[in-house]
Amino acid sequence: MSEQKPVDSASNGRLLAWIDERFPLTQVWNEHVAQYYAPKNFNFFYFFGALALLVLVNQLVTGIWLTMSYKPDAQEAFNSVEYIMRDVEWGWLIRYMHSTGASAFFVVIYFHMFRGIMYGSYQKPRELVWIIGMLIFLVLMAEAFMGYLLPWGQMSYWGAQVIISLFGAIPVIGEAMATWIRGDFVISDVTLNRFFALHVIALPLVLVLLVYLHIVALHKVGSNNPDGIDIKKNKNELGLPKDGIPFHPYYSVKDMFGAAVFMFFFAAVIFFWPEGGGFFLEAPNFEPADPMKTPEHIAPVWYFTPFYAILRAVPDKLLGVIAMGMAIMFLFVLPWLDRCKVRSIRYRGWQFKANLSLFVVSFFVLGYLGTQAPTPFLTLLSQIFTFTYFAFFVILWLTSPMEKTKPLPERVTG
Amino acid sequence: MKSMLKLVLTSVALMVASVAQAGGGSYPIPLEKAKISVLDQASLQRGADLYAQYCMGCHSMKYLRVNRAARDLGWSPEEGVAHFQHIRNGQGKPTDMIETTLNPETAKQAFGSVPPDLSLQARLRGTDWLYTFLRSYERAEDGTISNKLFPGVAMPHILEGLQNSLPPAEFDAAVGDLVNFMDYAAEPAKPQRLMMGWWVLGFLALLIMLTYLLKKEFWRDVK
Repeated sequence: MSEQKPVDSASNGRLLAWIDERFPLTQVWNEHVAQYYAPKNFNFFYFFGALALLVLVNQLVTGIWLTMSYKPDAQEAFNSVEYIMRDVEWGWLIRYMHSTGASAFFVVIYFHMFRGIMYGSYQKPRELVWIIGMLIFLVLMAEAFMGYLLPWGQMSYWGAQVIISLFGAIPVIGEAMATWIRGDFVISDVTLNRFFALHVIALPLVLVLLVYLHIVALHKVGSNNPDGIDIKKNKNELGLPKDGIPFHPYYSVKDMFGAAVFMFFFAAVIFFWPEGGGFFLEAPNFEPADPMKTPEHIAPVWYFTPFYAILRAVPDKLLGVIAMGMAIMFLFVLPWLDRCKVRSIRYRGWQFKANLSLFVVSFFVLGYLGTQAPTPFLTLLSQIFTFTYFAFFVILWLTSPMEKTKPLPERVTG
Repeated sequence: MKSMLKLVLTSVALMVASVAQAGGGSYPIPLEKAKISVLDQASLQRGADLYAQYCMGCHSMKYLRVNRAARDLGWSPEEGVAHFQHIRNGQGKPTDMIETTLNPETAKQAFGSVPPDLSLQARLRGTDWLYTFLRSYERAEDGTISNKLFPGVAMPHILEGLQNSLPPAEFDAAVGDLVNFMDYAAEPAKPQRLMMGWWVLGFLALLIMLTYLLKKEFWRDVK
């Protein structure tokens, strides 16, 4: 990786030589693709990084085409979406690719993050890879939230109303801040226009930049693997890691297979289940936004519901907002909360396995509870699982130094 | 790893199952399943005629154009006008939207509210809801009309004549056709989407096989 093979210009053709004298094309290609050595033991969970990139490209391309027919205008937005669905050639397909892509993005990212926690990919020296990744997650949530307002349906409108009003919980400046974000006292045409601007240009730019930094940081330190051991410790006579294989062609072809499998499921949803049982496209959103008529039950889209459940679990609004923020902030500092010297769950103690299992269960239960209208029993449940969600981080910090870990292998295993 | 994967997948399955179950609640009566398919063109045609006869007097489908519906239902544009725009006394054009001639003000005086646009009702309420709703009207001894699914609904029992003239099974089938047409109207691309989906999945299945073989070939020398 850091060792550069001298570039043989003559064999690369004259055009390439011409370019290489002016731009480090071959060098960049080798450093990040053809001679980027990745551990050879990547498993199922290692598809999701490449898939996240694939979904990002899908969102960018379909998004560009949607903007060609969409109108960010409170009078016209809903109609223009139906125009896309009915009158634009293949508009329905592009729209479903985008709406399903939003959900797919979070499915992929949650798997990707889970992989990182399971194999300790955030541990030294990959703290910055993790933090940049968390920033991507944060920006992605903002991007999804703003995009969800654009169809201007009932749930778009009231979902945004509920979430933005959360800023009102901040003491003293809260109400002024919420008004500043909306640009109005309620969600209105002004809000729609600025969300459109942020959704189609500002946040995607930030997202692409962060993804670039994520990969730069990763390629500086090298990829972790399911064994969590350092493949750079075992090098051959050429100075290449014995357990490493060049990303291209090995992982490029493997990721092509992963992409094909992913696209199969993605297409199955688009063509046969585009509403995703009301989770990808919510039924109330087929009614235009009506500021005078509040829907009976307002629930955010599924990928926000774990955090929404935490918000509702806390009786005080301000504390609830803080808890929701903390639920994400704790993830940022995972590299320092986890004090175990062993990265991978394969060689860690029972405490970590039990703790992570409880965390996964909490996340899913909270995700479910966030979709439901609150009842006293469900609120109690969400309080219990909010507790266990946060307990994960505390238990991790307390137990990780004294975990009984298994001995690490010299070389990666299957 | 295997056990973690199992845990994740089981949790997902449990969530989906519990959510699917929880989705059904909160109606006064359980919804009945509308056994319909937008790929059944004859049913769509019958549904369209029922719609034009019983619904269009009050309700619009402002997002559905006459010639578009005609094309998807296997009619010429002129036939489309004949089927959908007959209430316009020959004034209809194939490029018109399927709209009612009822004045909103008149409607408000007559029913207390403006009848909603029906373009997207099938996606808003669901086809099972529509199917159950249209079959849940009752006339009491004193002549008052009520709906078990939607108590206090402003809409009269418009299908009463049809219901009284048909055996129950045939009436259910007719309502099914009508709901089927509404399902089509809510997403005119649906028949195309459903038919095309199998080709796309077939292609991707092939692509999965090819990329798998490619991967295997490249990885032969990885030990």
